[in-house]
Amino acid sequence: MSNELLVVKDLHTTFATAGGDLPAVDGISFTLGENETLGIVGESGSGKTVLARTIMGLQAIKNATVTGSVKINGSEVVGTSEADKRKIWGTEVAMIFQDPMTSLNPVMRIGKQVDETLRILMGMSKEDAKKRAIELLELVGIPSPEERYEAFPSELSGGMRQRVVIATALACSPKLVLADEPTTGLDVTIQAQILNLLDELKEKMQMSVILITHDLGVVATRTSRIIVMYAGRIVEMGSTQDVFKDHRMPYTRALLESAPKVSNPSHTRLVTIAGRPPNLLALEKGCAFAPRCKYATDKCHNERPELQATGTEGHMFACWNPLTSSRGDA
Amino acid sequence: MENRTPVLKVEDLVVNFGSGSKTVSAVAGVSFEVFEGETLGIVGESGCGKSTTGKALMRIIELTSGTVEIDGVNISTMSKKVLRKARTSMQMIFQDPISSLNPRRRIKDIVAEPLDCWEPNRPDRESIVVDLLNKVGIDPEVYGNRYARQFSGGQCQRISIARSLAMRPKILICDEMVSALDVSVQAQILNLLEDLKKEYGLTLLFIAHDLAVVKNVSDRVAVMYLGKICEIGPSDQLYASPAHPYTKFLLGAALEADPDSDKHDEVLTGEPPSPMNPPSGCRFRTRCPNATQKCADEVPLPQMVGEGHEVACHYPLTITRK
Repeated sequence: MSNELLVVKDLHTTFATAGGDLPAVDGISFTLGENETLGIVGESGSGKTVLARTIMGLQAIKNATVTGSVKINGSEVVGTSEADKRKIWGTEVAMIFQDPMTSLNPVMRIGKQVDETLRILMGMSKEDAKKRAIELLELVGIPSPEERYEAFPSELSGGMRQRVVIATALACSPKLVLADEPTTGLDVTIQAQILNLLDELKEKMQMSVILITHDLGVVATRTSRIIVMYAGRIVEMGSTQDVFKDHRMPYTRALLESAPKVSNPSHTRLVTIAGRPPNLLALEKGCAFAPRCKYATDKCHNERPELQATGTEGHMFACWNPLTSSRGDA
Repeated sequence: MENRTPVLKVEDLVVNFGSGSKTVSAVAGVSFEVFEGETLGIVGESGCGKSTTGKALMRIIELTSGTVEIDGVNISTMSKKVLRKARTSMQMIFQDPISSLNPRRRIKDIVAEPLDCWEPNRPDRESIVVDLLNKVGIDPEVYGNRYARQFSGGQCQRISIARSLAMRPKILICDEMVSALDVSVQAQILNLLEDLKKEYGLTLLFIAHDLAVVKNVSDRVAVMYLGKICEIGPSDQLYASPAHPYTKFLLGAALEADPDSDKHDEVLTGEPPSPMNPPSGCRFRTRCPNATQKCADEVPLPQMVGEGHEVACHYPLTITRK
């Protein structure tokens, strides 16, 4: 247990809406070790962002109910007061958000945004904090950091802003960083720069990273484990190799196959999943993917499959009619 | 090239925004041809001028200079009035499917709008709408009377496609039409586009930033950087042996959904320079590892490196390699 940095147990986040209770996160359990990179993938509405925000303890919406447990380095997040959560924000856990424009204050100089956390959480003096902030800006690859310290976010490009967001998140050396779509909206060449930077900093600062994305290409070579989410639940999880090469859940395969690949010749017919992501207010009793699944049987529509082990360590899936192992029945 | 006549011919297209010292050179002399039944992909990063090119072809954005010919007719000097009619043969599909439809109108009226505008009181109006909605996979019986706001992004994009086909256009310009959609929905829309292209004999200009998506739909691909085409060629050939260093970096940065792929060692450093003050000579030279003094002094002209494969570089990769 000692090397488990994050333990999530039976986590539920439910929003009370006019149309009824919406189970955005519906019974999720997993653990994350130290210095590990975990990928969470899913389509929009699968609950990946709500999961990240719940782990952080950010409940922006008043009508959200959270049950279950999230322990970060031993401290419980669910049900604790804002004041207690502030003690772990920044120092134990930090988050990198998707949109680098809205996660920075547009009328505050970027240097101030980086050293704010240093002064408040670490109790640094103004001079020390400024010195450290400039070091951090340099660390995340911002050219001429002394000058940039005085810049406003609007003076920077999207990629540079995301570097500032990363510097802010890492200012107090957190042990766990949640990166929610950190490169969505950035150009491919800039995306490669930011992902490489995250990899580098993870090694340098000995952190664990959760990389949340809809893009399987982002997680393919940068994670050791992957969780696939659908309709608020984990439908498959395992080592990156297992999920990509030996997936059992038909949804995982469909997700992998529906993305066009650079290595395929042009005009390759894409494999599609019929229908669209489910309405969380009107879920079936059974598997949420059943209405779109070509293997679905009566059982799938009536009984909800729980996660079951494949035999390979850490590889689990939730499906009544799993695909046969591409590695033979081991 | 074979003796084919281009449906769309663009020559030395220039689009500048602003004037004087604050001129943004968005498109700086782009020339290409698109042949009947062909799909030309335009790929590039944000700010490279790919969307401006698309909009300038429709004259949604006025072009600064250059010519655009559709079927041999020059539309770049037409008066607005004549242009409106001519534009019915060229339709555009935009990025954000939800904001490109009026949320308070019924979708059957949205799809019929081009007809109501150009051929009012057509007796077969209803049947055309029913047919179009069926073609894009939306049941007109069930959904025809619903409002645009009641549909998801993928469905809105289907409705946009139906609307764009109402006037039976020859050319369809698709500007980032799948970038706001989930992968599973994206695959449905891309397959639909391929089917409709065959059925309606469309010529497509497909503008997108996603290299894999562009390759999937295109016969030929043009790569743009800072307002210029740096490379154009048959898609399989261009992706297999890129001749321009920028194309090579762009392809290297594209992430493959395969844990065994191993190609993020060579990453392009820096960011694109400002189009208000583009570099002299080759516009890519400030980030290019192979750049020499010649690249700063002379603008590279397109040269052939293969069948239909042109590159604007003083030191093309495919030639130096052999």
